Amino acid sequence: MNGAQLLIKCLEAEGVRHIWGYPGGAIMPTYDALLDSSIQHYLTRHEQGAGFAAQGYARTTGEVGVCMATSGPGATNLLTAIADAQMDSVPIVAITGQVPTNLIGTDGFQEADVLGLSLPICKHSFLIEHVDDIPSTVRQAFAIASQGRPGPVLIDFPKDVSLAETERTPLTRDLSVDGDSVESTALAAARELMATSQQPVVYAGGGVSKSDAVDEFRAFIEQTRIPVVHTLQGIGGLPGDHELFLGMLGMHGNEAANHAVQHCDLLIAIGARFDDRATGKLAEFAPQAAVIHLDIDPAELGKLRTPTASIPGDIKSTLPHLSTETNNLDAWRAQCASWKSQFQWRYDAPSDRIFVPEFLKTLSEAADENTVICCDVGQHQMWVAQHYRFQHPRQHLTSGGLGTMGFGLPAALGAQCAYPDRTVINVSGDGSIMMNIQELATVKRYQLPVKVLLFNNSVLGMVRQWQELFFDNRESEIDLSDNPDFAKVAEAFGVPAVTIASKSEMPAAIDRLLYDDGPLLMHVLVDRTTNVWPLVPPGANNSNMMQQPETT
Amino acid sequence: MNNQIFKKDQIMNENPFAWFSINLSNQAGSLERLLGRIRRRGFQLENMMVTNSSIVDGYRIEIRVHGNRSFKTLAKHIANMSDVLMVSLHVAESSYDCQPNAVPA
Ligand SMILES: Cc1ncc(C[n+]2csc(CCOP(=O)(O)OP(=O)(O)O)c2C)c(N)n1
Repeated sequence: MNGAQLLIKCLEAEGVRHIWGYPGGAIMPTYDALLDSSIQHYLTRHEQGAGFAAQGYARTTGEVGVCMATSGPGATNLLTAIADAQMDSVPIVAITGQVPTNLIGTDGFQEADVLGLSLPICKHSFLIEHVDDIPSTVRQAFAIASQGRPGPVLIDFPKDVSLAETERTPLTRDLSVDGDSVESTALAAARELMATSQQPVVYAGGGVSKSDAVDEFRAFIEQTRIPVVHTLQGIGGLPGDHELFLGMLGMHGNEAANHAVQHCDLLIAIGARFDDRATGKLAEFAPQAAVIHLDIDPAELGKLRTPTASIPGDIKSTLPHLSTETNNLDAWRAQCASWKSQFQWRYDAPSDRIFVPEFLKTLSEAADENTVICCDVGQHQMWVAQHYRFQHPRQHLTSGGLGTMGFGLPAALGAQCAYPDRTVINVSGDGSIMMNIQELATVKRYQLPVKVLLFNNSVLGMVRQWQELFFDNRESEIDLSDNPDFAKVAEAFGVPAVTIASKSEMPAAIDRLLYDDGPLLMHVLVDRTTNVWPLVPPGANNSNMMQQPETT
Repeated sequence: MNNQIFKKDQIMNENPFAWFSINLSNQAGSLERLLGRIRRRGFQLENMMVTNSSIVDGYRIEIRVHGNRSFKTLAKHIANMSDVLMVSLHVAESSYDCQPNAVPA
């Protein structure tokens, strides 16, 4: 057996069933070995698409997603998706071909120092220098990607190593992971804070679902009845219609959520990392609050805000220990409920044009709880976070930390491969869709029933909004009025498409998104000047949300 | 080495220098990764000694870094690296040993 064949056997031993990738010179032996494997390979039309498809798979299933590319340009094309996985703690393994070891460092054809390039954006990176190291490297790569705080791992695989003969066999997968021992002094301190707090708030992030702790989280909330705010990645931790859920916090969050955090006396941060988009001005974030911080990554505890009690470890095992009697919180809950009703979303835009928030709210009311929404980046992404009522975090795939336009379509493709029977919808903008529109060819080739819901406002909407509000409305390089006809583009790829522009067409459009059997691009023409409200201006504290000006 | 944990989580400005002792396994990219992490997390290297040691089966590293952010957080970021076998941080008279916190590579 050669190294490439052994690598594929090792991936099979890890339970890998899908790989997204793109071939080329240095990875050819591995592509040859794939022909004899049970693993299904999906050819994307750009390596970035492969990286995001692997992420889509990982984000919906919680399992490690695998992508593959050749050396040099193939590998550098993967880097954006890898950096994105690092920022949002998504477990992927990226395998890149490399020039033969004797050419490394000689500026060989298609040589790039991928190991070096990947170091700051990976949880770990390996270069396989000897064929016999393949089994242990693959085993460690999957363990590192999935255990503790998840993240991307790169395996750089030189061509000569992939062709070398070996007798080795895959290592068996050790599934036992040690549970965390919970430090009792920190827990006692935390419970004491909870017992005395009059106005506690739970601030929960992506760590809840990353730790597969949604059930434990919901049990904790039902038991303590503490009001909850979510980060962008945390959305769905509590169902969107839960009475204790106040909304997303932060820059484009719900005012009720921000008010509750700014007024709380105890902030219980669960798998959240005090990101600047969530906290606004950090020094004035939750100014009166003691903080209990639970996170699997000890480096997050005290990184940006010093906790009063810090509880390192896997939330799945630590959170159940935190449940305790609280004070009578009726008055505080009533205060939060009153903010919640005061700051409800409004959908009464006075026009027969389609209002994106209303479209998304109506879609979420009609969709089932298995529907997966994969966003791109921009205004439409914030509207999804605000107005779609998620029932579970793994339904909502969104590039939060890196905020990468072009994430949505390939991520949807990966999610659809994981769950062929679910409705998977990429919500996109006319800017974002063009970053990976080539993946419509992948959708077509594999007959994936992915739906693209494209809100076309003929502009880079989020940037236009900031130019309007913070740069005196001086528009700089944001106009997309010469967009191609996206419906025709989709049809040229063999994907059916519909264009709609008026409110009356909305119900039929939603029906098609949810019930069409095959792929579809729903091209929705919307107003150029609508803004996302409310908004915390950059650098301000979260109490200072700008409101939508009243229209006359 | 004493195991005293800092009372204050953030060691700001008062002690802009810290010393770290690190055992690092010798893998492709290990040293670069360590140095890159120190830079990206906002610290400057003042002094560094590296020995390839058979005792720790890798590098023994002594470094002095300068910076205004929390050294303890940096210690934890370093401990998160899969090829780090041991980190200990010394600031003025105290020290903090940080358990490696990563799946070993
Ligand atoms: C790869 C990348 N380039 C640039 C940006 C900066 N950016 C953030 S939002 C945005 C505009 C997005 O426009 P569109 O996809 O049309 O969505 P809209 O805001 O109009 O809903 C831009 C350019 C980014 N996030 N990602």
